[in-house]
Amino acid sequence: MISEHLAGGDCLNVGCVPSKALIRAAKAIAEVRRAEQFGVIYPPGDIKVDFAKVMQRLRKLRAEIAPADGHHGTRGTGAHVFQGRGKFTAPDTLEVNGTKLKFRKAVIATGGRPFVPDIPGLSDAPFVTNEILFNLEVLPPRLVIVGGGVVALEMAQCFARFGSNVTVIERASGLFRSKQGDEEAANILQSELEKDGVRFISGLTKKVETLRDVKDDPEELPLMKLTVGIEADDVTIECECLLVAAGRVPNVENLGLEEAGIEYEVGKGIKVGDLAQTIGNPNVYAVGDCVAGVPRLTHMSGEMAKLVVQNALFNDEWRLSEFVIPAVMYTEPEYATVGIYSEELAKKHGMEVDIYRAGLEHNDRAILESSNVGFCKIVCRKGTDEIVGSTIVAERAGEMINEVSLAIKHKLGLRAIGRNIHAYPSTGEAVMGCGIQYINSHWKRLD
Amino acid sequence: MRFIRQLQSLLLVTSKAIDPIIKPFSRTMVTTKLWKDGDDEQAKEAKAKLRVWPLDEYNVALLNEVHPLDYTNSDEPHEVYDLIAVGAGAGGLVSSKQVRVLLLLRCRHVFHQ
Repeated sequence: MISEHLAGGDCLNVGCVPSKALIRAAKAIAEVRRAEQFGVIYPPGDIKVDFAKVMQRLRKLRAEIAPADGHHGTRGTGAHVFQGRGKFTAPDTLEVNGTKLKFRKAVIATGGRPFVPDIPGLSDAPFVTNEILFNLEVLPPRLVIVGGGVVALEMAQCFARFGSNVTVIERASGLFRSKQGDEEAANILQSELEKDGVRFISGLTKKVETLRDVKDDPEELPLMKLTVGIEADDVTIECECLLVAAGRVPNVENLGLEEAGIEYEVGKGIKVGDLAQTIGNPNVYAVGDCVAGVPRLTHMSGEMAKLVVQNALFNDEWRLSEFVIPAVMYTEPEYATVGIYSEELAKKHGMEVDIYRAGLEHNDRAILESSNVGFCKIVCRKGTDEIVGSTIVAERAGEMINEVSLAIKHKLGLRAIGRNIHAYPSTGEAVMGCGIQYINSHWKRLD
Repeated sequence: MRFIRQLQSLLLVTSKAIDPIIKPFSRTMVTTKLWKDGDDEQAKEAKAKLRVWPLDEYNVALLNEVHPLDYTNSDEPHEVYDLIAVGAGAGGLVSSKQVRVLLLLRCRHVFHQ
């Protein structure tokens, strides 16, 4: 294995692990703020957030998880670990730190990096991306986030709960529009984040000015001013922290891919076939964020890696097209999707569908948890119980979506879900509720 | 990361018969210096080159695992590798470690035939 930067990649160091540590802290803070309904009384003004402690906890937990990904553990499995930049010098050779390594098979897993839009003044400004955000030691009084996707919304809610004044600037006229997301889900998520104090602006960031640059002392925060075009007007917003969360680009440059005969496109990624072999060199595979057209998810990368080892070394024919891939945004409530998750997306694919919806407003467990905003929607091919996708908005949507993924993967129809006993009281009963709707809608008439 | 933990659990269960063969390849870390809490020069290096700060006890523990300070690979490179993973994120790690799991399982299958 060749490791250039930090083993564990984005997920351990600057992605899943630190962000979920922050989300858990933010959730604790939100629970304390609404604890009165549960009989827990704090004197007014007594609830304080120690941001330094929040970030220290993040670093502590990340360090605890790190040995699972560290060089020591990898070498302990018998793998050789080279620390440096690997580049192809021939179709069957890589070079790292001046050493040439010949291979029978290789897998490119170079990941991706944040996309930084070409906004005048931005490249000179002390903005942050997810690669730096988790180094913060002082809570910024004002945080502006450019972008409306998962990273943007998860961090918007967190920092608003920590006490920052948060503004999200997104280009589309509503959340999830660019990916044909469910409109009801978008409205709920926006509303819930607004209750936490997040402000949303639909507009185009035209210019970034640096009013005060970053200093060595972490207590001295920089200051920036953004000019945002909203319809015909321009507004200005100042902030001590500007988070650019506008998507990701694959790391494909300067790897010698041409020397290996591998086809790729800058900005899009490495081209692969259904067996994850690169187009141009069948002995080289590619997985994860560096690949064109695959979801940028840790579990996608991990599963692709398993497929590659199986196919490359044991002559298997496990196909990417067999993957059923759930995706989750870990806001509160969570937002989870799988497959063809909305009517709009179905239209884009030329598919006619039926949608079955069970709201959480009547789910006993959700009511008792005081968390009954949300729903489960299951999308079926029209006139059938064949499940093609789902959108779930719920406190534990990330757990609930796995049942639907399983059903899609193993071709269990919605009728089967409706007939599967779900424990009471559980939020998962909403998934069963969609199944019961299907069954009831197909009852024979009594007359 | 859960993939890595699952693989490691599988490694522990299946490795007893195979470890005598694999152990010669398993060496201690080859690094003569460690990242240290409170070292200003190291803190500057970690910030400038790796974009990690502050260099407190936790980030020291992190970096000593994921980017040891003067790490060199001491193993004599193989003439030809069965598989090389370029990248050490989820994809690279699962590829690297999965190979050993499958090798162990295949050997176990051969022994039990």
